[in-house]
Amino acid sequence: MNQSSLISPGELQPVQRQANRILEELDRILLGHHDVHRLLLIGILSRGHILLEGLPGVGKTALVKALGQLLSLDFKRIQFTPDLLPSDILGCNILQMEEDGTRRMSFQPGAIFSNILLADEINRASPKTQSAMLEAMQERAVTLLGETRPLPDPFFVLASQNPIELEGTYPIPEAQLDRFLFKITVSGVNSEVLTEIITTRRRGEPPVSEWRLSREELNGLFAAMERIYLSRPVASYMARLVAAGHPGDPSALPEIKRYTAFGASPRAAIALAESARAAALLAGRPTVGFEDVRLVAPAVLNHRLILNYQARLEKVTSYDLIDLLLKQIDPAGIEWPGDIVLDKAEAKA
Amino acid sequence: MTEKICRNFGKQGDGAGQGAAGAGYPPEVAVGIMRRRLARILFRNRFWPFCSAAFFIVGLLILGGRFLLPGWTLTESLVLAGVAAVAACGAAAYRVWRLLPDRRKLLVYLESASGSSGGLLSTGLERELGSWNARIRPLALPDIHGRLKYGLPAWLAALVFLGGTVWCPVQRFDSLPSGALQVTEELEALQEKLEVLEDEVLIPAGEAAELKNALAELRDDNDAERAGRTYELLDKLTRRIDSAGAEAGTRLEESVEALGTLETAARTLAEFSAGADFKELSKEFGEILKKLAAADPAMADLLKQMAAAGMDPNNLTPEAMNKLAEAMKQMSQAGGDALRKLCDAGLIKKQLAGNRSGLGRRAVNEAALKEWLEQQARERGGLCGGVCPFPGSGTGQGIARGRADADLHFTGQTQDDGGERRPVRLDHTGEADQSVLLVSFTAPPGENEEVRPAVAGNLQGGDAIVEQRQSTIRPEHRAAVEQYFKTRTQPQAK
Repeated sequence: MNQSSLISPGELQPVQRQANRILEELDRILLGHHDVHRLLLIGILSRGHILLEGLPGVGKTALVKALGQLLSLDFKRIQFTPDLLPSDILGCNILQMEEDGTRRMSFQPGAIFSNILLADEINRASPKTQSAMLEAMQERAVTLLGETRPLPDPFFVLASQNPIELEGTYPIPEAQLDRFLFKITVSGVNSEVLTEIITTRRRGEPPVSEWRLSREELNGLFAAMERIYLSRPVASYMARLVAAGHPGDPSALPEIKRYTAFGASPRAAIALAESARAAALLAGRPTVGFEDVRLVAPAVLNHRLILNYQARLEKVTSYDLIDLLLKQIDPAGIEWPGDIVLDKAEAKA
Repeated sequence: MTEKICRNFGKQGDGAGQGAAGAGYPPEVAVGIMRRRLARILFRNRFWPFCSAAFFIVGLLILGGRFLLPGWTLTESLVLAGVAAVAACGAAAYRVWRLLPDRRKLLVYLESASGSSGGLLSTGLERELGSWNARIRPLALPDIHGRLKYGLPAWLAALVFLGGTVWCPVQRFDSLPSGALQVTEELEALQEKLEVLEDEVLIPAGEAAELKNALAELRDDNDAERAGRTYELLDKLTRRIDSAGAEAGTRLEESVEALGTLETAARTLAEFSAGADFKELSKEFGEILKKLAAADPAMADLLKQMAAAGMDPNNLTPEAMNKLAEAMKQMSQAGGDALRKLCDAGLIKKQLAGNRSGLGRRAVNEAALKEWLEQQARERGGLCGGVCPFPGSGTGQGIARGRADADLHFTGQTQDDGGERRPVRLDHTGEADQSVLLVSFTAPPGENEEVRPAVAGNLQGGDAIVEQRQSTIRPEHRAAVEQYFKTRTQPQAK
């Protein structure tokens, strides 16, 4: 493979078709969540962990299950509770008697030893348990009694949390939230979609897809991701976008200074680049475009911008600030004179 | 890298790049168009403020130049305004050059704004796109607006200010230098007098130039810190110019008088042309003309004109006499005009000038006047006071003769001698014309009384009581004193 050349259209098109097929299947299984499905697929292609936030019953668990089936990946689910222990997730060494009567310590892997782990209602577990899992998410390995055991490849954590019923929960600290590539808000569906669900799904059970993506095909997708080119102007745009989210940065907007306590970490810029690559792949392009950055920026940045009390008081959300950043930061880095007004209507037309 | 851009984008011509005709422009073209649009708007938005600032600055310079520098002309103001406009153009162009985004950034901007190229153009700046070139789509250009705000009104205000500084009347500062005495009016009056004398060629050119230089020197040396010297120079120059004016006025008046007399004589001779002694009288008249010509340049000119016209002064015909009389009349009138100008300039007194310039031909018979005065003196046993030697001094003091229907006035300053004044009517030449003379009679000094010597302010001597100031008014106090009396006398004048 010539590293200096872009992936050819002939190489890219089959991969794009497979990715879009996954998306189509997800859309068929779970109705009315196309944008969530796309972001979820982008997150998977970026090998990132995803936090799904939504009310109970909007289809979070079903979505993860369907994804595991479609990708032919090992899928496990843990319902997080306050009494859940780290060993319940990671596994533990137990004393086991052999047939010959000898006893020895034997490692029993936890639920985390799977390709896709659904951490349901992650905010209900104690911080100790959360920390144990979040460490494994970052390291992609589990260390017990001095022995490190790598997790299966690929490994994704798809966590869910409920924005209501916060009593008896342990909100995930911001530092640990940073390890999730995306935080996707799963909202309800409209009445038309609900009607479709009621009429076509017996007891609401989603249809089972006959189509599966093989492991080789999935690896092919990951390999194609490596060849999506990120040009310097687009990378610069991402960097400026992240930097402008810091209230102390010279390029920070006044609103950012007013409503933000902390900006996104460098990990956010890396996440932005990776997820934008995946978005380009889904769009069938060999290069990352500005529109890819705009597509993934809210999901990447919304849980990384730490708002201050003023923002809560004025009901300013991180999505509002991200929209502002996307509008105000010039993609080309041009500092337009104050007397120049550019009307993009024609360009959009 | 620019060449690389061109290479990459040049290839898109055979693909979709130009496929959508009318939907946009090829990247290179779009970048060029946008740069031109931006440059035009940026230049316009910067030219007006720069030009406004330049016009205000140049307006102040012009104002200063007109105020301070001698010889400042309209051309210089216009040239300066033109230079300001050109400088504003240059400054605006420089700012545009600094502000205009480079082509690469503009290309990236257009790609991001179009939202359809997917980073291919940005990637094309760094590496070969290969077969992906065909995917590059035409770029649509955004509408570019320039907010001018107050640029145009400010420019108009600056233009009005500039026009005002160019056209409004400004008194040059050198006419009133900093730290100078307030002698502007006096200097202007002297300048006016000098110009009258120069224009009417009443003083020699050399003397005029000398006085002019002295006046300029006085202007330059006008210094309030040396008020005494300045006033001294001013007084000295005033005396010189007044003296020159008076002398010129005297000469002119004599000339006018002579011309008037000669004109009368010429007309009389012409009337008696049938007489037997006409030739002899004509010859004598010619001799008188020659003698006068020797002393009077105007008369000499007249004789030259006569000679040019073929007239012999020794053998004048009645027609020539009449022509001569007419020429003399015109010369006399010109002299009268000159006298009026001298009067307007304050070089001679108005009444005197009026009398002299009026019609000298109707002058009082001097001999009759003298005879009458002597007779009156004998009959009344007194002396005739206040009579100045005819035709009077250049200061305008003494007897002034006027038209036959006007009173004669004594206009000079004289001491209050307590004598009786009454108007008397004088016989002129036996004709109907008469003049009235206001004559003051006073008793003759006794034999034991000695005639007091003349004192300052009374050149004619006599026993008049003249106020003499014991305290010295220093020259630097003069302005204050004059100002004091001006303010005291103005309400009375009203």
